[in-house]
Amino acid sequence: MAEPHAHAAAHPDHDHKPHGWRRWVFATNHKDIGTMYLVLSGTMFFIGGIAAICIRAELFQPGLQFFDPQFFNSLTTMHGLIMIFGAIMPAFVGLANWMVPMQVGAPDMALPRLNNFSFWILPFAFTLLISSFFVPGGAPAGGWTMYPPLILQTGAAFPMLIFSVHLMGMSSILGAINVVVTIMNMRAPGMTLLRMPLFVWSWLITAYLLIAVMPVLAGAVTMLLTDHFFGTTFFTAAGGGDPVMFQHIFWFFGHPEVYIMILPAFGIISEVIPTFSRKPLFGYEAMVYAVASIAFLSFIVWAHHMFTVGMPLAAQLFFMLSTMLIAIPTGVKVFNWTATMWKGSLSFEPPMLFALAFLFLFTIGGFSGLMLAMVPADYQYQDTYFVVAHFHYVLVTGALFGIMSGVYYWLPKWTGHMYDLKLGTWHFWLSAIFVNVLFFPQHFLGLAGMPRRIPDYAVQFTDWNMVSSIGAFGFGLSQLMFPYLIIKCIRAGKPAGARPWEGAHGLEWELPSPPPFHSWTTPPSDALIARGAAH
Amino acid sequence: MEPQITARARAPEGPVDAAERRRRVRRSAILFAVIAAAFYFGFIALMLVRGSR
Repeated sequence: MAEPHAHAAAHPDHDHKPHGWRRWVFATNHKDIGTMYLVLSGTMFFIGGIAAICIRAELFQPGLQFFDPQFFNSLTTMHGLIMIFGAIMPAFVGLANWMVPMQVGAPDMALPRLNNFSFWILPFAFTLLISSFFVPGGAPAGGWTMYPPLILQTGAAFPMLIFSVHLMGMSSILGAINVVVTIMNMRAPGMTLLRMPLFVWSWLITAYLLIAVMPVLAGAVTMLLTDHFFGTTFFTAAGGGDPVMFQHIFWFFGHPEVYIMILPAFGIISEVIPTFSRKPLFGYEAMVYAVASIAFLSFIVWAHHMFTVGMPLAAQLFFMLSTMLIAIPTGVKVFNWTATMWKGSLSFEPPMLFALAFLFLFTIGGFSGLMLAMVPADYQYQDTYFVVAHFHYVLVTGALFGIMSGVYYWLPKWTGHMYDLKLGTWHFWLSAIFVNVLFFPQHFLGLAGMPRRIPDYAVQFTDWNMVSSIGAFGFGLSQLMFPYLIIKCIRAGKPAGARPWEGAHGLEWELPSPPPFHSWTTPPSDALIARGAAH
Repeated sequence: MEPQITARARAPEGPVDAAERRRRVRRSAILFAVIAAAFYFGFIALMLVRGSR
């Protein structure tokens, strides 16, 4: 171990970190900023979750139970915006902040003050967005996709929505620039690109995606803003504009956005499965190329979200086939994760359980994605609950389970304490069971023709809606175990060693747990890097 | 011999001078900010061009 870390570990009080509120408000340390991102993400997860519970309570039986349709639509819109921009994305940025510098042997992110700015934009953005519930006309109700002309009918909340989306976009772009610049310039000597952990690789590629597509979303909502307030008609048919063009621009952002939310999860799973299989990752380079291929393909598939708006046959064929192509690199990844476990010495701690659930359940989301990619079939599935089931399998059992797996994997490293494994296992099983009770019946509802984004439905859909709502209540309640487990771990967990998982490889495990406030102030040796890069 | 930029990207083999690293960080951050701005203004410009036809 390099001298400065040994010193810091021996004298934690000499860690030279600021104290009190200034530590957080003026934070430039990547670990503190990572923690703040994760806390924000957790908070937004529960706020978005409350919206989801309200939605499922309303849908428990046909007829209007609790909310008028306008408020119901506000709930679905805000649930989507909060979960995507407030829960999933900040969680991955938080994990990147915590782990990327430690994994590449850098003392911090390349641009620490920009890092602080990127984070502190977000609480303002979400306060603005959530406070739109209390303005005349209520919160935006046109769906998270903000399609015109419907979204242009939003009341006083419209500028709040647009400004908050701009702020979120700005935060994401600045955060992504920081990640790319850190990885390209701050790696320790000897940490070559093909020695980097898969989590770092997946984040590098994700950051490129973010830099390319978040400005496109910002451009689209800027044009919505000028259509609403300044008399332009970019998307207003009455003035010669084209509402369908908004959909093209939105999904040029929106499909890569899906991969922005899943590629870092691929990275986490690629760290966790080898650790708990006690084997190196099978096909490291193929995994890197697969992630890069998925990222590239994500730019040329956007119109599969909008087959039914009408487009030439050649375009439908192109977008159908390019979408199906994604199955190839994704298949490579699933095969390699499975091959990594083959003849491994497996153990089933919470990170591995979530990773395995990810593997099975994300694949279900992938299969339903293939079904949706087929143009003739998509005409049947469009705007039904089948689509809702599909993307929740991708984003909940994919992205969210990936985040859970990562948090359970690195929590002992962050806190220096081991959490209650039994409680973590309970959390996993309750989550895995209820998430399927919640989302699997939605496939049946969609195939039977139940439309999405409605507060009421025909009586023949009642039974599966009841099952789905029971799953939602169970899933929501079981998530309360997660913050309890984390607080218990921080306060009363048993001390965790530098390497609490015996199969773990990587530079982060060469640091003590918790790592000193300033880590890798002396770059790690080549031998340490080589030992970490055991793929 | 490999071009310098490729060698840099692939394998930081020795400690890099702090001032040189700061310069590289600044340059690459500005480059990516310009790319992001180009996407933002580029898409708005595309729509303006399309609308003016």
